Amino acid sequence: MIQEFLVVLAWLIGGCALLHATGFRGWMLAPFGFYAGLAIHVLVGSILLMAGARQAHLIGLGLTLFLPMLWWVLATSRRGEILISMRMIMFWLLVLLVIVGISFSTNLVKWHSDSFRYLMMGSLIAKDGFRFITPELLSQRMIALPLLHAPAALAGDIYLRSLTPLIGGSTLGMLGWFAWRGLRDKLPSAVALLLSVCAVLALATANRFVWNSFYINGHLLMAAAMLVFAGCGWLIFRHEVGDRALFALQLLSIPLMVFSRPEGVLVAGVLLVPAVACWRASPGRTASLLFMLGGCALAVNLYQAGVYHSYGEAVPFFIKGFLALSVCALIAPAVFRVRATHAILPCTPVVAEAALCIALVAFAFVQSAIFLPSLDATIQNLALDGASWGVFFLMILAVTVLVLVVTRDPSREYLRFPVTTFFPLMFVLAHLREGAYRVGEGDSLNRMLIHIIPLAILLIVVSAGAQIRPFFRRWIAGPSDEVDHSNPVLQ
Amino acid sequence: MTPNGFFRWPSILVGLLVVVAIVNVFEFFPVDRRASPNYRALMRYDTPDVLAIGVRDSPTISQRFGLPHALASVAPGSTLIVPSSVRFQTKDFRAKMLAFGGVGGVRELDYDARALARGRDFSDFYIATGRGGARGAPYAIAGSPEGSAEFVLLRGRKRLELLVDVTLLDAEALAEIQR
Repeated sequence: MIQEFLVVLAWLIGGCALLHATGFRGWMLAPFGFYAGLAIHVLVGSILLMAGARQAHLIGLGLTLFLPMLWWVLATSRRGEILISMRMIMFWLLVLLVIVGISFSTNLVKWHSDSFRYLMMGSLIAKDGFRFITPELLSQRMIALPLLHAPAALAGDIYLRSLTPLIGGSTLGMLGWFAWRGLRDKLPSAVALLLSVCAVLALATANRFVWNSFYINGHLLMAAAMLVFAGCGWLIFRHEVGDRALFALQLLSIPLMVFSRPEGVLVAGVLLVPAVACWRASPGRTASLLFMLGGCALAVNLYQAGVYHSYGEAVPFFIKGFLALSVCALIAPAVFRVRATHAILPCTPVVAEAALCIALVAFAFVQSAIFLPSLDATIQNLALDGASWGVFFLMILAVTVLVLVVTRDPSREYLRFPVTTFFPLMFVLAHLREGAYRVGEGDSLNRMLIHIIPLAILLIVVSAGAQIRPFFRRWIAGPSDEVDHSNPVLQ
Repeated sequence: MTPNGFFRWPSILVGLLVVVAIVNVFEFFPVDRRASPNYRALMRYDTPDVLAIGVRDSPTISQRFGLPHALASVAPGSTLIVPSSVRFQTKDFRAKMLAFGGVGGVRELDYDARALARGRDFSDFYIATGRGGARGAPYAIAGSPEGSAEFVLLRGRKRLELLVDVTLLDAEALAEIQR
């Protein structure tokens, strides 16, 4: 337990140091800091692993702790600023200790056959045997989660028992903070706080969220990354104070998505679409996000192609496709510097959504043997409770539709776009992997649904500050009807 | 607030989210009861050893990882000798033996694992058996009573994957492996 506590403490300290150095303040530093620590470890560790470094997980952990600490010391000494409150440090250390202790004493671990593939890779990383990874294993399971669990070998174990529960706790904290920051200037403080608490409660009490908080897989990590990327993008768009830290979190979320899941490149690309639409508002930052996406995707897919080659196997089509996408992301900033593109960039979300829907319709016709069983299975899993979601997912779906119909808020695009494109993207994925979704708890889509839940709840709760559409104003009184003119691009 | 609407939008959302939370609480345990054991949110196990749980509770996991799990239990830190012919083994055999088998090293040698098993019976020395070889094949581990440090992989009848302590091999078999 001591070793595990020290590992999670290293993530917490490294992440908090980075965020504090970039201007993040307040009690919610710890949930974001833990998340940032994981992301730094994944970024640094993945680069080391792909470069063939031995003990990449431990060197990565050390760099995760010491590089941000060094930056923090330099930044704070230059500003002559002290520091973080002792009460806050003691509080979060206690919380960390309690969560690690509960994880060790309860044996609530959850698993699926995929979990053992992640753990097998993690164990190989710890034993410097990553070169024995088969191409299929690498392309299906990716690097991030094995890398994060690999330090468990310090205590002779194959997984960190408190990793997923801590990701779950961080997700709750970050959801509450995003809701609070998004609403506090639009509603009375008490109402904003109440709504934030309600959002956290709605997520924390969901059976599948609790299950995912003990499940050895990358789904909750992906959910957290999507929440943070979209939430930070939305707050930056609204010109929140302290946006250097928010931008750092956005940047770090990209490798987390790309290295966590096979579809991570596509998901990160979808999340970037609203930023591309607002290119003129912040070209430098959007270019950095595109470079991060292109660089990470290029590196990991080239590495995978190399592994396929070393086994004498043909590189699959999807890896070639991801390589093409990475190159597109890398050259996109140069293209967007051309003034002629500025008129069409605001249309990117509409075009991307339409393209996704057209692709899905085309796939549905061409591969109806995949589309129809997938649709049938998804309806059974969600509407007929075939997969342990109860009525939770349907309730979130219904309330999401309600807030989108009743309110309007152009700045909400960052949150709305990934939510409404989620199902089309997931169904297109079924066709790309050429396998239909199935009925039951173990189905891929059923387990991926958690990716979108925290973001959907954030979308719902921040809609409390949105304008009511004129048609509904005779029944419903909204907050101030002043139009947000902070960015003209989406008006 | 705008004066014209009767219902206040933030209050509606508070109400809806509270309803979601209350429904979640009420359906939490019924959902857990209906779910398969490893999909129950509050299912507690008697051990934190998730590999042991998987091998014990799931035929799929037992078939995939039974052999390395058994080897890690009966002879941790041992060395494996496997035939270099690719057709003999699934590609991830070496990976899963290194990851979960507690194996110190894997040596590839040029021998015929099927021919070597023919006519030899090690069943008196079995210290672990089950299903967990390549593609769910049955497996057996034959160890010497003095403890084993090096195993050779043989292929028996009915796709049996056999890990045999090298000290149990006769001189002819040893010569075949080391030629």
